[in-house]
Amino acid sequence: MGYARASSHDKLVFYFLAVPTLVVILVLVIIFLTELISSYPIFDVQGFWTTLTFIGWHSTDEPPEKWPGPRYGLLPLIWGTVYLSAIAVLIALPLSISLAVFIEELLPKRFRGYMSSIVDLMAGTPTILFGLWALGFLGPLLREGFMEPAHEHLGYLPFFSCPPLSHTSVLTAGVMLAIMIVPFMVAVIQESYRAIPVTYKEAAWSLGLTRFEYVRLNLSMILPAIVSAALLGVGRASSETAAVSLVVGNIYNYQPGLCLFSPIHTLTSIIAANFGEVEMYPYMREALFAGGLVLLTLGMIVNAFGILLLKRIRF
Amino acid sequence: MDARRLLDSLFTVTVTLLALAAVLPIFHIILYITVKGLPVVMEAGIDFFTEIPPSPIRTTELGGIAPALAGTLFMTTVATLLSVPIAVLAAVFSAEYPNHSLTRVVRATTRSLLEVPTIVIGIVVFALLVQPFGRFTALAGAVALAIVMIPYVYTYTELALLSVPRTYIEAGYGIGLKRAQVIYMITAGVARRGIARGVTVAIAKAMGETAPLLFTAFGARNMIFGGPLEPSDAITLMIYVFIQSPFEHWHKIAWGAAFVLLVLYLALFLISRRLVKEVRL
Repeated sequence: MGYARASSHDKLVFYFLAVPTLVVILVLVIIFLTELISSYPIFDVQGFWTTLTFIGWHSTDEPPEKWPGPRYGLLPLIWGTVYLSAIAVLIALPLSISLAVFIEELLPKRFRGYMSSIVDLMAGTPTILFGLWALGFLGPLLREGFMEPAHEHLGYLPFFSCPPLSHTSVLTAGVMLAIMIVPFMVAVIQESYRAIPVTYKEAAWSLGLTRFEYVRLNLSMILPAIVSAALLGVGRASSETAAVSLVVGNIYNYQPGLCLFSPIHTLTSIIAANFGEVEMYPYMREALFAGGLVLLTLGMIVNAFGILLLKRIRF
Repeated sequence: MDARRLLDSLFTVTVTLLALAAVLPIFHIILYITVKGLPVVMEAGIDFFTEIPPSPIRTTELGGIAPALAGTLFMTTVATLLSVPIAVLAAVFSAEYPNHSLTRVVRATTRSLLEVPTIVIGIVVFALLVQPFGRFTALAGAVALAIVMIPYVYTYTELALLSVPRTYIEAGYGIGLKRAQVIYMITAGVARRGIARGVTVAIAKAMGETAPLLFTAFGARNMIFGGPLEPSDAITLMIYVFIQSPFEHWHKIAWGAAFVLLVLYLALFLISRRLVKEVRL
């Protein structure tokens, strides 16, 4: 009898906990559905591939019968997001690996706690503060210290080919994002680095390796984690909005290319800049939701790859 | 010195320099925002926390950021009240039924939620809670922030619950406690500091978010707080708008507001540290 009572009590507990669990799942489902439903009309009227590959952003209030061609193309925005994230991760990767190795191998043990606190502090700092700093300090510094000399002397390279007209550019945003994503990447690398069995490490030391050779060997064992950290960084960098939109330049780029000094728009920055005007222009709301959908899909794919890679590490 | 040793020294120097380069910016950011923001707060005095911001034209007075403070306080509080019960109970479910299929789904869900760009959360809430009613509201902003908070609270809570020693839980059942009693008195009791830390981290995150508020709370600065069903300002939102405006004194206010945000964040960060240090079993 006691067992039967306990069982009905258990059932009650189960349902009491299952309902909020379902709510959490429902939140993600609703986000996806709203994104799909809200972006569908633009794919319907312009075609799916055209929307993804067209270059052009025509904020026009003409009705569809007077404007038969496509209005809103996402290609330069997708390129902007991908290029910006790549720049950020390429800069952040050596910084993150070094910081993880520094904490694990070079820093005296008693300072490690402080260093980890600093990394946590960086991870949680309101992103708008990074944006302000990049706008007031980093941008002008990069423009005078790097962009102008690089354009003057190495302007024949595609990366430096366009004149740095302003201190807001894809490079400014990229460097800022690199700083912002370092703590997240460090966490992933550090966790795997710590998971390397002590016996492996001792075996490595016993070979008489120098510290450099030892660390290189350790890093080679956690290579999937490093790639996974990079993917996590891409996810973080591509979804940042407010800080990016302060320094990325906010110009829809009709000639998406490799130049680091051009002001651009990304999938997130264009939503921040244009979503306030959606009432005025037909299909702009749908186009911006489509941008969000692309972002969401890219993020999920990158995230899934990252998790799969982490699972490949087995000691 | 042979080549190997030389390479090794070079490696040590390079790693140290790069590691320092990675952490130096945060110190410079704190310093820079203090240098730019603190004098503004000093100049405006106590009014900075109690007054509404000045009009952009015909005045160079600093006024205050009271609407932003009130909005951030309201929306963060409501978001916490909405998200914490849901996320904590979902985490308890995952810890209690680790092999249930729902647990696998909710883990994947929260990981995905963490990756959803917050601007996307903002426009989805806009489509569902702003557009149908035809107005921006503080409540819509709070809902958007609650969605931002859920995965953080869930992740920290689940981690804290799973670290509760199995023997404690079994001892609870051993003295005849029912499941709900074990969860409430033992599992959640032992893990409460870990849970509190997760909530603090999530609050810091919500307080520092800008993108989800752009098209939900939208901003309103002509009075301190209009109510949950009116548009509302937030500190982040105000910084974002004011720094992009062409007005010199609005820029100053933005830096002052940034300093206030920084202090609030540092305070929450210290609280979350304290919470974790005191976990002793």
